[in-house]
Amino acid sequence: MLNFIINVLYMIFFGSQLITCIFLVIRTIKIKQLNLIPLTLFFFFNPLEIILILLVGSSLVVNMFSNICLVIFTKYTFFREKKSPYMYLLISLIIVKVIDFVLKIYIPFSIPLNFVLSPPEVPYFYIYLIISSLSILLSYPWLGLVALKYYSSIKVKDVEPWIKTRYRLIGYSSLIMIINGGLYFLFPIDTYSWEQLYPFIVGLWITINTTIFSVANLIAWIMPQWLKNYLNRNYKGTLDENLTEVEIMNKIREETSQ
Amino acid sequence: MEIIKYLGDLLAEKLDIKPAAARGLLKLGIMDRFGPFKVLNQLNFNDYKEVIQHEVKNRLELLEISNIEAIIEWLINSLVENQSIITLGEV
Repeated sequence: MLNFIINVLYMIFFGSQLITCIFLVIRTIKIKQLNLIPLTLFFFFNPLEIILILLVGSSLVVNMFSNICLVIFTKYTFFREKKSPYMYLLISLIIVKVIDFVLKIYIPFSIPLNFVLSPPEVPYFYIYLIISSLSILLSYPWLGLVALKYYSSIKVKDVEPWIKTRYRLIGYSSLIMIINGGLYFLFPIDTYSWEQLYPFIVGLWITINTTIFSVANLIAWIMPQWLKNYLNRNYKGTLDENLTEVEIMNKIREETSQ
Repeated sequence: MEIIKYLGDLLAEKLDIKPAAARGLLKLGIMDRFGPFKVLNQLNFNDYKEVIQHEVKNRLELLEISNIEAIIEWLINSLVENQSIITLGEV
């Protein structure tokens, strides 16, 4: 029963990320915004990771790329030609992912564990937890914080409310993932399934956070028109007159000469 | 085209003209560079930057606006600062 609940949440996580990925592929082709490619790959690698774990029991290589894609997306969406901690985050993340890769080749750690740890393996498991936690902390918070920072800078500006909501959804959902970085350390090391109450609660919490992130991003990126209309209900849009080139230039001349 | 509206509003304040006129000026700049058939939501950060640096600047010169260099620099800074609207406002 406990496993069933976690599996249902995993299905929601899997489905929402896959749908977001497909939508972003279509939009990237249509609007040719290349900075969407890493975000599309991020939403591609996460479901792929689950498929690979189910099919071949490991997602070693794929696991390396998703967080890196998120950092690249943040850089090329918010910080082109601007100072940012991008290179520090990217290099740190690559180092962390390489350590993770090497460690998992020798001992196939996972959260939750699917085998009983021998005493000499315990320190390595804690290294694995630190690495898993760092993977999250070096990628999601940056996107979350900048999305909320820019939300606060456009909050009072004449920007359509559904766009402001998109910033908030991306921001808050990314920050929720920080909690997972800490929750990994609460997993008991002497158990290897969800079927006991304590690991179940920790596992459920992690899965809920991940599902919130996925569903919030699904809504943020594939916001249905009715929701946009609802969020814009008190917004007075701008309707530009259909002026010719000469009329626009003359209008500006008149206004600047006054 | 939220970024055009956003930058248009800022430019309107700077030049003390109506926002619709400022947006019109930016759209004329885009048309000068890409022709009338370019789909606006396919413009990326570099496209906007080049339009501001060249075509919008030329238009301001035609209008004999003073302090053009400072206005263009300020507009580019506003674009760099608010570049995320291009993506989050168009997807």
